[in-house]
Amino acid sequence: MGSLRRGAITRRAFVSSAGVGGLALLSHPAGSALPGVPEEPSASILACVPLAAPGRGMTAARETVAALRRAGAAAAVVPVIETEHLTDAMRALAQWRQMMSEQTELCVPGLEPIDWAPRHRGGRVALIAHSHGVQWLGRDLSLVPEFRALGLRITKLCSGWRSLCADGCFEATDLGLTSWGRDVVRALNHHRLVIDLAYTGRKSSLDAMRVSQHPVVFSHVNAAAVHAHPLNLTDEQIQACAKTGGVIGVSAFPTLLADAGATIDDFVRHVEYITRLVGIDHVALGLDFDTRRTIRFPTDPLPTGPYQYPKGVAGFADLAGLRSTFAKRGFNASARAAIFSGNLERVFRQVWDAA
Amino acid sequence: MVAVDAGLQREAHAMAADLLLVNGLDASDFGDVLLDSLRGGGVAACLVSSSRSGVGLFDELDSPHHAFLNARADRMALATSVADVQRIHREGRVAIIFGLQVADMVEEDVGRLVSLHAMGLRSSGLAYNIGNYIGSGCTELDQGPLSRFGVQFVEALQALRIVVDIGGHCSEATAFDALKHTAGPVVCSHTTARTLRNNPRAMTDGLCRAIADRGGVIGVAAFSYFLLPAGRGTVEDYLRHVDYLAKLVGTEHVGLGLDFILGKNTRGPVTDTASFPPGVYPQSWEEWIYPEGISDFTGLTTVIAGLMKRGYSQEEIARLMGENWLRVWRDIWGA
Repeated sequence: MGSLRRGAITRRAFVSSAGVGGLALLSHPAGSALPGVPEEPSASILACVPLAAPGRGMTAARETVAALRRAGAAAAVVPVIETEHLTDAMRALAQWRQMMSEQTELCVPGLEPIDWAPRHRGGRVALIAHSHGVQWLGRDLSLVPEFRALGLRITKLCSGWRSLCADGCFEATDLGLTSWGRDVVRALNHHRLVIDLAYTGRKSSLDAMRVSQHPVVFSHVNAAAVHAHPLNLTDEQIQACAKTGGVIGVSAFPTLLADAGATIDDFVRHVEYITRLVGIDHVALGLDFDTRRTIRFPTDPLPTGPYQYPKGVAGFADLAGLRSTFAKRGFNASARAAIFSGNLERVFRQVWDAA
Repeated sequence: MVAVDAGLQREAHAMAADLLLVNGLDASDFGDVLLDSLRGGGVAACLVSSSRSGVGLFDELDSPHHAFLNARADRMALATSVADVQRIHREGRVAIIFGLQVADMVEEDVGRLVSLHAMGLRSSGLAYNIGNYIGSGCTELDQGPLSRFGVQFVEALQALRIVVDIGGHCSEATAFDALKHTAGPVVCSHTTARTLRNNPRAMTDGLCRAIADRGGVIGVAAFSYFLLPAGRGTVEDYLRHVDYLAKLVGTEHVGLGLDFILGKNTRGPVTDTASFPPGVYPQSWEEWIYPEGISDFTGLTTVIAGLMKRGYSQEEIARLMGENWLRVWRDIWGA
């Protein structure tokens, strides 16, 4: 039974990444249809689904989870910790577990790949806890396994501003990884947490990819060659990410797609560009449907919102349509499966199951 | 033994009694070993700095430090102004100033500086060897200026009139950037001259001049490994750095920044090699040593004798041994 589940996941899972603080979701499989949930050939895993950002509240979080479930998502990476330090970060994880325990009909914790296996989740969404930074770690590496035990499975090194580990892409500077940052990368590898380098500065991210023994992800950023922006990735970063075996979750956040009036074509263009550069195995859906951002310094290169997501990639209800769009653009079934779930699933398996 | 004749030593001893001896930074355990040494050396004031960097330092400053101060109130007292220092000295007690070598415990909240100031903090470093939210450290491969938060941080220090302690532990790039974002005197509490000893913890002539140009003070550390490439050395090795810096930037801008670690009985290999990498620090705690003649505060008379022997006037020696710190602290603290 167990092996059957695993096989089913591999074939059916599809990954879509949903932007900052993402939530990877796998759409429910054929044969486990729930009322109101469309049948899907394979379920998405989304790399970035902002779910419970500060001030959004539990109602909004619940609505997001319900929308994911309606869209048939299998798993989603959700930013549970934003930039909190130790105590508040632990509280955020506790609240996340509480939220999940209050809506067991909608979601399950995404702790292992088996959690988004169709029979296990039964049409619910596996939520994978993510952190936007490692402020909670301070200078104490012994906290890494503790946070893993609390359910954290993927973390950024830096929230855009310089951290103890890395420089951020909101800074005027572009420094390399600190010596502490190297230790942190090794500790995250050792304790099998996925490293997300979105928002880490260019030089620091390249350093981190050199140090990391595991694949890394950029959960919700795009290609700078398509649209120049401090958050978007240079070809060198994209190639380095592919070399780790990692994945870039393409974001639908309008500021990262185009200068103005971003469309679904822009979104596809970023996917196509990354695919041409490094192949189909390194791109996923980051989406990042977000409602507002924390702006800390006037120089932060992100608008405060509200955001106009492009028609056709504006919400989880668009996932099915997006799949057709990719089909029309020449992505065959296996390419679509790779983008919508397979690639992200591969990285999670590789990192989480590492010996 | 150190080559200073007995007559000169007696003269130095007499002069020391007339001077206000001030140590601009110490890393000793805040306890009786330090207090006894300070009193034995006739020290008027000493800035003590915690080696802890986490938020736990709040508790340390709030209870153990204050508890120890209260327990030894007959011999020492906390000073938060130069007037305090002078009063405490007149009372025959040692004045203690609270400082930080690194501001990691502020994390990303400059608001915490308000609380720290209220707890007595009067001086703060930026980064300690390795990078943090504020700036880059002197041992990092990649060094650069302050972060955006770092700029906010030094501005907050200045608004609170807390001494901005740059150089030495932070990178030169961060130190120069901090100079750009501050006004008035800034200090480097404990370093040595890189021209004499090529070590990342030692400061370049350019940065020393820049601090002096702003009216600041450079405290000279007595840690052997920053004075000479190998061995323990003698007080002469310490004097060589003091003399070099005094000639470079003038006797108004050099002071004591001894950085002793009295009462810290660490043994064996250094484990935190990220903070204390090979090549910059000795890798065995047994090699964290100080020169013969200046391994605790009782050696200060020998330093004075050495300065006399080098031809420094009493007025110059008074500046180097304490007055410069008091001047710059008065400038910054306002009293």
